[in-house]
Amino acid sequence: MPVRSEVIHPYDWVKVGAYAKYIWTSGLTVKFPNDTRLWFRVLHSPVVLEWAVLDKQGDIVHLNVTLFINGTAYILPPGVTVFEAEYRDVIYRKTLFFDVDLYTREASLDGQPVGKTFFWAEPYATPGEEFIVSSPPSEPIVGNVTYVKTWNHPAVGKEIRIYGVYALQPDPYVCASYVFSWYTGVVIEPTLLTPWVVPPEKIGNFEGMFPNGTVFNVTRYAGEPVGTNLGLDEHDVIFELSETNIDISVESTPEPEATDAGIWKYLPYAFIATFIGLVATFLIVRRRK
Amino acid sequence: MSVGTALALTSMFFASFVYPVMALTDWDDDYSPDHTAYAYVAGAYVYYPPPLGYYDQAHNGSITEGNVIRYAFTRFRGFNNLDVEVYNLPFNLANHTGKYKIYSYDDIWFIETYTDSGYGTIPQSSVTVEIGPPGIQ
Repeated sequence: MPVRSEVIHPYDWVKVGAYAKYIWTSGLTVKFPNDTRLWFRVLHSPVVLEWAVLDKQGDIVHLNVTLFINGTAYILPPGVTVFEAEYRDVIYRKTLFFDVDLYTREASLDGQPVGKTFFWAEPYATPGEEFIVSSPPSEPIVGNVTYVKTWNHPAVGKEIRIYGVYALQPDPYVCASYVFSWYTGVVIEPTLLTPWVVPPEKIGNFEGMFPNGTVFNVTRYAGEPVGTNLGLDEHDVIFELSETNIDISVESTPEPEATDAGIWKYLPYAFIATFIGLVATFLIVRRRK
Repeated sequence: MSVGTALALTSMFFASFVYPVMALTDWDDDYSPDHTAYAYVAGAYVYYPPPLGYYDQAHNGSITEGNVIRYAFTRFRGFNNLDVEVYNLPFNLANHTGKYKIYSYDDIWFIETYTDSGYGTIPQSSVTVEIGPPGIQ
């Protein structure tokens, strides 16, 4: 039996109605275009990030992307402190419509190109491979594939095969990890990033660290199209998959036991070779007599 | 008691009616759901709105698991009363290690300690602890 990567055509799952939901369970801050911020201190339900395929025309996938937060928040116009701020129950819902190229992941929002997105990525990644997480104009965020493994996912309820990506770069600063379905490329754990420039008087208060322990100053944080346009006001928020109708499980097309097939598929050839050998031996022995 | 001390105490007492002065010393800790990451945070505050700030912040974050294969770190952050981040300092950790540090940044409303061993939910190995005035924890 062929392995799933040989029978499933990549991106076959991209159909109208395909969706995935992700959750985040801690408080966070969102920002409106007028710089008023909502600082959610208490959540009445997990923060939900959801995307769904609305349409597909050629290689372009039309996506509905929604961020939903229900909680109690400080309402902070610019310059207002928590002492002065209104603190009440708030529902925040923001929906965006992205057009995403299925193969390059380049997206546009309201007709404006916004760079690569990561609702899905290339399937069948291998450890060590370079991975472009996102490409805001002129400043790509680049990581590496760090592992491939099979994992019994609590939300899916089945084993899924995944690969992980880790990105660490000093300027603009990124320290983020991602998990994707190995067979389909669907993102399992996206990290949303929003840009922020460290005020000059605060430079030195923000640091990053390379794996070898070398410390560096952070002067600005990187953003990517999804987190930035949804209004998040956090350096990074890691969402976790909670629900999807896309088949990302291993069970639906299990990988075969490769060793058995490797041995037994040569059996007919061995039989023919043995038969020819025996006939030849018989004929030679008979002629010598 | 000197006249100067008396004057200072009197000024602070009456200032407390004008400014929302707040003094507290508190700590909190938490394990990740699978007990592989641990964060402890402690703070001592005497909070006066700027420019009369006095603040100490103590953080401790550690990783208790023994199979960190990607990365592990703890991150110490402080925020002011505008919910604007004032400092953000990560430290790499190895298996069964931690980091403890005390800061004296001005203008801190609450502090957060976060540890993560880089697995996301595979397994769940991260924890966040916040400490600050009532309503923060």
